[in-house]
Amino acid sequence: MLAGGAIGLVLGILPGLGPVFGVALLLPFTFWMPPHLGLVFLASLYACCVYGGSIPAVLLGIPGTTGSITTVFDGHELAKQGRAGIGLGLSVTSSLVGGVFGVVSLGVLAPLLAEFALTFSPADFFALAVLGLSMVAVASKGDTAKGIVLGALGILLSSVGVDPITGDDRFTFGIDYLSGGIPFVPAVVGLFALSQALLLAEKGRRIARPPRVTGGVSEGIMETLRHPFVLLKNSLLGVGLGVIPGVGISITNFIAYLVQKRSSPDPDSFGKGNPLGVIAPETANSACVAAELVPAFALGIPGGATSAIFLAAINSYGLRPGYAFFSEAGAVAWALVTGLFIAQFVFFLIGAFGANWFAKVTLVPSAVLVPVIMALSFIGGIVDRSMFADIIIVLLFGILGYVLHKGAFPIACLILGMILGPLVEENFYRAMIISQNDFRIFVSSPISITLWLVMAVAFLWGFVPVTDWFRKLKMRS
Amino acid sequence: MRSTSSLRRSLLDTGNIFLVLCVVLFVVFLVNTYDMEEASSYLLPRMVCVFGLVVGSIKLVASCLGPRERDIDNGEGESGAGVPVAYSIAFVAIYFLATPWLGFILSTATAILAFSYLMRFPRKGLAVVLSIAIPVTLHLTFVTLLRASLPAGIIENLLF
Repeated sequence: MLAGGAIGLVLGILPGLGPVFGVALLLPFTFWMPPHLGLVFLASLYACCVYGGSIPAVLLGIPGTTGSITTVFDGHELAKQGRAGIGLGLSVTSSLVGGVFGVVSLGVLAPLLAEFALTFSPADFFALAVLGLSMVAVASKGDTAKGIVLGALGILLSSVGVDPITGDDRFTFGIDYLSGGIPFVPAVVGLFALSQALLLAEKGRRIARPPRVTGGVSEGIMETLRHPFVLLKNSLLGVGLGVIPGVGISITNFIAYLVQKRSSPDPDSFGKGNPLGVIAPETANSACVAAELVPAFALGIPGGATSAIFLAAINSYGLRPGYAFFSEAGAVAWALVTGLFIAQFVFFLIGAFGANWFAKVTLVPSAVLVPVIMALSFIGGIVDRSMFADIIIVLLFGILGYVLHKGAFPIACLILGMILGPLVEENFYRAMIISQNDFRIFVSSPISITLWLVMAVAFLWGFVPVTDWFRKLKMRS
Repeated sequence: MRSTSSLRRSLLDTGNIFLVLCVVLFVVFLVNTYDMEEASSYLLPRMVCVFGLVVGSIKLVASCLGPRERDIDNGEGESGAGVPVAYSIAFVAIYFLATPWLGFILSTATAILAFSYLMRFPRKGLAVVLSIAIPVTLHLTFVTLLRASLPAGIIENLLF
């Protein structure tokens, strides 16, 4: 837990890397650990990485992760006023409160949702998997159409290999290696880790020089605790947004900041060092971290790239998400929840006492960082199966990740398509067998109909400029 | 209506080149589904191919005819310190291909030294120290501590 926390914090502080990169890069190294330790390691890394992003946001004005963008507005303003310590105290305490709330929600909501999912038919699961993929495409920063194309490509790539129904080879193009399918771990390492090395090499610069921390961290901690209602409101908001597939920490922190600003009696003070401008987004995104894992563990539907990698980890350990994860593998599930709970206090202590020291990692030059990421990507690709061809997959997916980043494609959709592909296919055929090839089964239950309707609304939001129309109407009136 | 040259420039956008590749891939997969006899093998992949093909083609046409999308800029680097991506890809490919023969320690040490030179890392002494310390630390961590197997290559084969 300590190792995961420390690595996560370092990766969170380094701008441009982040939780998906960290979890993807270190996933193969958890295969030696017992499942509960592997999951606790990854979960601590994830939680600390999201918090770590707030340290350069406050000290340097550069968000370490996309979840800390709005923290820059007031957190860095505090640093410029010589009160960086207060900014760090605010972010670490609000992250602790939000994180604890999120973990408790994970422990309570996930088993309930998993039990409810027992009533789902294969057609409902098919609709749910397609909805999960669509929501990520719609909510992604890029273009909805690009997200859909990538999701479809991901499903196709997941269908390479042995056909689960007939047992025949499919889409292998005569290459024996592809009979086993495209290996997920080397693909993830390439897409999220090696591609970052290529981007960093291209950028080629030392990241930044951190200033000295001035102002009391304890003052920031006390200031945060003076706003219990803000903490509760944003924790609830973070959990609510976190369980929706596709939303994630980047959207959550923006919404939390805007909601807090709108509801404030003094909105003009935001952006000028208002403590609530740090407390609200940091509480919400930390609550969102654990909540994002709820649909992944309870339904097997990941809400984003990070939870998709968690799902891959669960599958690699031989466990299955859903009701069985909390009943048959209950010890692993509860160890994860407990580990994640304790991890919140670990990063609180590290953040409260060592943020200044950890911030020095931003001095690591790209000339050193790039070969280290390359070496770790090589190890990540080869350790799982010791096959040389897996290294080629890392390289190809690394190049693909770079191209997707340059073309502003939502990479999460590809990985979600790859992980949801088997689930989509399995439930599609089970539904078809039950209905004797009658497609009406997909709209025969209230759950399916609701899910398709939600998807239709999401697509309308993604493709049609509804918000622009509302803005124009408002301006006219 | 856009001119031919601006249409050609649009087609050369990274995003559009990738979309063209996606469309080609969907077609290749779609053609392959016609070799399959069992409906259970081809039905869903065929549906996904057609769906991806339609959305991808519409997006491609819209991108070419609409305003040009710029590639994401990676930000300003120190002048002359960045490495063109083609070099980096070639470098990674050589590193990945050479590691099984040279061994993890030797190839990683060479990679660190080469990258410090390429990226004009000013502290040469530190680069040499790091080129030894980093691969040895990684090797000890993964091979000794985590019992992973990394390519030994010529150095370890000569030593042991």
